[in-house]
Amino acid sequence: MNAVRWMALTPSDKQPEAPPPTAASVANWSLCFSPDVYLIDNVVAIDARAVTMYWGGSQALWRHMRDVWAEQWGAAWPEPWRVGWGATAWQAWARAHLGLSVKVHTTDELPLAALPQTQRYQSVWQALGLRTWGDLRRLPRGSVARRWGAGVLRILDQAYGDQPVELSPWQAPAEFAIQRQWQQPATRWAEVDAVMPAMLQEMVAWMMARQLKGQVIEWRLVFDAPQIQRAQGRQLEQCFEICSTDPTSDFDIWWRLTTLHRAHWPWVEPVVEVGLKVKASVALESGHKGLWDGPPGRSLSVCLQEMSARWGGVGVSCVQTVADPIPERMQKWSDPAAAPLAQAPLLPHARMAPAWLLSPPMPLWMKDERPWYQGPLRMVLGPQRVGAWPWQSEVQVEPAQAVRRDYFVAWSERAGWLWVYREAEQWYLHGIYA
Amino acid sequence: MKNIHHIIEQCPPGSVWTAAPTPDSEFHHSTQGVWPTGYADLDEALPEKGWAAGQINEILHAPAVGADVQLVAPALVQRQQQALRGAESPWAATVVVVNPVHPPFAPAWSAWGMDVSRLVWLHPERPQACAWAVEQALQCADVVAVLAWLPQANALALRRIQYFAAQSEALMWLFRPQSCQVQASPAPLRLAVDLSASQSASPALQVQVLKRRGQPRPEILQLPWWHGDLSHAMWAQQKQVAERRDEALEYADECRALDGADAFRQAA
Repeated sequence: MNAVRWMALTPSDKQPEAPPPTAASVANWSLCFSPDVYLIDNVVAIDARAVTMYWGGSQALWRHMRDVWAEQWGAAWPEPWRVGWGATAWQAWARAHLGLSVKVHTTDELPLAALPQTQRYQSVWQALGLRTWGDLRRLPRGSVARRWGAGVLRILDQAYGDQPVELSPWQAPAEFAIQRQWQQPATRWAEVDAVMPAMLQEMVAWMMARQLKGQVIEWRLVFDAPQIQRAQGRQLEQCFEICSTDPTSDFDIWWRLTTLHRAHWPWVEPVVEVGLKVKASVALESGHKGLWDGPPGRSLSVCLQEMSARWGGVGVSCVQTVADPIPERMQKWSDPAAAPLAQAPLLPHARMAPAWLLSPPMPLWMKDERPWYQGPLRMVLGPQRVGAWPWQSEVQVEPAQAVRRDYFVAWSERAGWLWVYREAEQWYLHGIYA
Repeated sequence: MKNIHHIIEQCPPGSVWTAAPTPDSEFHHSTQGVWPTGYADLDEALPEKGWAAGQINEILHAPAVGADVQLVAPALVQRQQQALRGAESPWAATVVVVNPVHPPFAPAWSAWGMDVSRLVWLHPERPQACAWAVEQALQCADVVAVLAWLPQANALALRRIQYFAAQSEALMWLFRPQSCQVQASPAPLRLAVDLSASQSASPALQVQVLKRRGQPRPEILQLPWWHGDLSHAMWAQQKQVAERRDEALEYADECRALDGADAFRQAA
C-alpha cells in the first residue's frame, strides 16, 4: 500500500445484518484519528496528511483504524462500509466507491464513473468511448471546457492534486445522542456491556471535537415489552443518569463510572436498544496551565465518585456546617461536590462539643434516679441550656422544632467522656468525646 | 497477655540484640514528614519523635476509647494547615475518615482548627469495602490523612494498606480493638491505649508502645485527657465551685463570729 494521504469511507450497498453505523457516527469516529474530517454526500473523507507521522506511518495508522473499527462496530474493517485511499480527496472517494475488490493501481486507470459531481456527463463520455480519468485528461483542455464547462476541468485538476479542494470540515452536532439496536433482543448484561465502550468512545470523540467536558450523561435502555404490552404499542424504557462531579472527557473515567453504576441497574426484560445522551457539559477551559490534566496522583473527586458509584450512591459524605444552635442541625452531610462546600462560622458552644455525634440521640435508662450508660454517669460540666423557640409567642411551632435541652459533660468509668442531655425529664446520650 | 517486652526480659542479659537508633540510620527518619503528637511524653517514646507519615500508625484501643482521636488531632490539624498553604487543587489537604464507630461531629473538629470542608466520611454498608476505600484514598495526592477503623481487616488487607501508605505522603492511623493485638501486623508502629485504672479525679489515658522501630519502650505512659476548651471549662467550673465553697466557709465563719458576739452580749 502506498502512503495514505486521504482516506474515504462510503456506505456499501449490500444489506448488513446489524444496522450500519450512520455517516455522522463514522465521521465522529474518524475524529479519533485526524482532526480534518469532511462529509461529502454521505462519504466521510479523512485528511491524514498532517497526522500520519504521529501514528507512526500510514501502515500503523491503517492497522490501528482496522483494530479500533472491529472493536467499535463489531465488524471486520471496514464492513459494512467501504474504504478507499489516495493522494487527493477525490482519488480516495473514487477508490472507496469502487471498493477494495477492484484492483486499480494508477490514477489514470480510475474509471470516469467514479469521478465525483459529473453524473450528468457519464452517458456522453460512455458514448464517446471515454473510460478512465486518463482518457479525459488527455483531451485538449480548451475543448473539454467548451463542451462540458470549466467545472469538469476543476474537478479533474482537484482529483489529480493540481488544484486544492475547498471543503468545509465536518462539524460535530451540538447535541450528542446515539442508539444501538439489536435485531434479536439482548438477553444478558454481557451483550449490553459489549456495546457500551464503543458508544462511550464515540461520545468522547464528540466531546473532543466540540471542545467539551461532560458532566452528566444518560443511558437509556429500551426493554422488549411482554407480548401483551407490545401489542398495545408500549415499550418499557428506563433512563439512568451518571454524573461526574469533575467534568471530564476521559474515556476511562466514564467507562469506570458506567460499569460501577451498571451493577445497580435492574434487569427488566431483554434489551432491544441502548441509547446514550450527553445531558450537561462544560467548555474545555482555555487557560489551562499544565501540559497534562491536573496534579500527579489520582484525583480525589474522581476517586470519591467511583466509591459512591460502587456502593450504590451511599457511603461517601462531605459535611457542611450550619449556624444552628441545635447540635444535630449544626452539620449537614451530603454527597461530594466538585469542590469543598462553604462552611458557616462556628457557634461558641460548639467548641465544647464532642468529636462524635450519635444520630439519633440514644435514650438512657435510669437507675437509682441517675442516668446509666455502661455504669452510672457522673455529671462533670453543665448544665448548658440549648434551645430553639420562636421570638413571637403567637407563632405556632411544630413540636419537633421547639427544643429545650440541658447539656452535660458526663464521666463514665467504662465509657469515658460523654455528652448527655436532659429534655422533658428524659436523659439522652448525644455525643462521645473519647 | 505476653508481649515482646516480657520475652526480652526473660532472656539472659546480652543474648538479645536490638538495633539501636543512630542519627544516620535510615529508618529513623521518615522521608514523608513527622508531626508532633501534642504530648511531650508520647513524642519522646516514638522512634521518629512524632507521628510519621508514609506508614500505618496502628492504635489498639480498649472498648471504652473506641473512637479516640485526641491523640492524633494536633498532628492532623498541623498537617492539614501545612498542606493548605499554597494549595491549588480544590480538594487539597483532605482528611478521610473511614468507618468510624459514630458519625464525626464537624463543629468539634472545626473547633480544633481543622478545615472541615475538606473532611470526607466514608461509611460503606459492607465492612469489606473499608480496606479497599483506604487503599483508594491513600493513592490520591490530595489526601493528607486517613483515619480508619478496620476491626475486621485481615493481614493481607493490612499489608496492602501499608504498601500504599509507604508510597503516600499521608498520615495513616489505623484504629483496631485491643483483641487484635495477638494478630501480626505490618504496621511499623503499634500503640495500646486504655483508660487509666486509677480512680483519680482527672482521668488519664494509658499508652503503651507495643511495637516500634529501634529499641523497645515497655513503660506505660500516663497522658492527660486533652480536650482543649473543655479542660479549661472544667477547670473554670471547679475553680468557681471552690470559690463558692470558700465564700460559704467565710460566711459561716462570720456568722459563727457574730453568733459568738451575740452570745457574749447576751451573757453580758
